[in-house]
Amino acid sequence: MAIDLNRLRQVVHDNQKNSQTTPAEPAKQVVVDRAGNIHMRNELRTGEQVTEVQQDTFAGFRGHDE
Amino acid sequence: MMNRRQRADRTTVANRLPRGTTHSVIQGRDVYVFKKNTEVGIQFEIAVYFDADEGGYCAQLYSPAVEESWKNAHVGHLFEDGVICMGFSSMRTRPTLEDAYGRACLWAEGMAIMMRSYEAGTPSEFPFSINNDSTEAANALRGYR
Repeated sequence: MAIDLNRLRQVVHDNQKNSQTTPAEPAKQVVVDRAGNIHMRNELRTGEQVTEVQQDTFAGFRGHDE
Repeated sequence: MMNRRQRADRTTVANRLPRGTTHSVIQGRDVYVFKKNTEVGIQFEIAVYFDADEGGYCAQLYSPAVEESWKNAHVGHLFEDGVICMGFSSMRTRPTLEDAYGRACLWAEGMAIMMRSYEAGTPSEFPFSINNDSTEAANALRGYR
């Protein structure tokens, strides 16, 4: 099932704002399957092997990376 | 003879990365290259490897080509050498191959959205990070051809 990209964006932004790199709630966890497809953890079948994506920002804030 | 890290990496690749992932040794490094299709239909080819000098696992974009002006840590979240900007603490690396794979896949979805939105005439900043530089992004997106 294709992921809702707008919802994915909102979840990732919310987690970044709250510094939740690895949120506990499955509905907030982003995972990748073996084909490279992105899913929300709570929408997966149980037992499927996936990789959790850590949700920090993709670059340091100004002042940290320059 | 493989060391512990190399054995662990082989296990990760066998269990977590796409089945068509290839392995080669480049400049003494074990390099794993995988293909990923994005939700908007652009395929990416990305290499992941352990870089002892960097102290972790890098993910480097092989294809598609990305506009040079997007190779900016606050625009396309990509360094000039094609290494994906991984995030706050280490920037160029993740501590495990699996972490690098996961971050690279999310990054690819974001970059694909940037490409498609620009093609559609409605340029979008990188969608999966809250620390884009809007001014730099606007300039870079304007210059994309």
